[in-house]
Amino acid sequence: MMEKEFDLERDLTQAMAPVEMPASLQQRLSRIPLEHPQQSTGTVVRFQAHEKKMSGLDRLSADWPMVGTATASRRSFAWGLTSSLTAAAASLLLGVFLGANIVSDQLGLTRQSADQQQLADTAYDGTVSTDTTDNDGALLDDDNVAMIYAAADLPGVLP
Amino acid sequence: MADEVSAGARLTSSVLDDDALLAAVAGGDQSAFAQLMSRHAGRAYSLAFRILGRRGDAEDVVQDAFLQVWTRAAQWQAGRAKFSTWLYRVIVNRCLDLKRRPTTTDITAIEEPADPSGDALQDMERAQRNAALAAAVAKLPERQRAAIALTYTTGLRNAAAAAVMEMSVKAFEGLLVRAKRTLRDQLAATDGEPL
Repeated sequence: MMEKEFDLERDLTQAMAPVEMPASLQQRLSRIPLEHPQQSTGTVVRFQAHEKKMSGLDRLSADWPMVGTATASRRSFAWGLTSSLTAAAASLLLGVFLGANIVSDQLGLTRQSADQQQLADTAYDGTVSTDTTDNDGALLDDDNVAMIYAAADLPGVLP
Repeated sequence: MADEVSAGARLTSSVLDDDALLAAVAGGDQSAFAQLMSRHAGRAYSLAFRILGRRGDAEDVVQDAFLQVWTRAAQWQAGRAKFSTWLYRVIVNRCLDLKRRPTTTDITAIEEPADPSGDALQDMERAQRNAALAAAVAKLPERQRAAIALTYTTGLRNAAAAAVMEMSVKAFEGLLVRAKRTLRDQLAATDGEPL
């Protein structure tokens, strides 16, 4: 097994050995300073390999110009983070909306029950009757008495 | 006098580290750029070629990377990373982007440079073995191939290669182990016997 491992290592070293750079590429690279203007200093280049303390959000918002070629994994990471933040914000808004509705409903019920309690208390004190049918009954009783007095030809003044 | 100054600058730039050369490149020093290019372009091209398997695409990738070096050298922040780590990362990322695009080129059509030294029969056997192995490497998943190329083409140690691929050393080692296992299986299936 060790011999096979050694063979694979040796063969990989040979098969993947560096190749000679074509002269055409050498020429293309040499022409770069002549054909392309340099950009002025503006943003600071960040190198993620030495920024282990950076959070994911920091890495996303970091300046990537020197990295140049964003990989698909980075793009998917950025897309995922953006969509997650959007979903979280939408969930938060929905939660706040529903919570506000529930709180307002509960406040309305509390106010209504408080009114009813106040009404019951005043009725218990005898100041106000909570049942209008009682008042109607009292009036009805008074009418009956008045009719009795009238029938007896007595002055129609109630005692 | 001017020639003496220029010669002195060239002599100085030959012993400068990459950060100092980049600072000089930021100032428009073309000789510093040439020095940086001579240090790194060869391995960068080899890395791109071993991942892509196509010379034209590999040249484009390297040119794009060095174009960024020239145009944005002023934005380089010295001491935060090794230049070679950044350069290899750009190369690997660009290669992986290219590999994900549909291509009409046969992925197994790996070009092998001629090796003029040694006995003819041995050369032929070695060339066949290398071609079989290169074809097997070409069939590897992209990231496994990049890990193999970083290790065996650029000669980076696992920690440096893991930094290039922006993963932990353990994850990189796992990637390498899976790649070698796949290679052994592929070569065993091709030859009827493992390496």
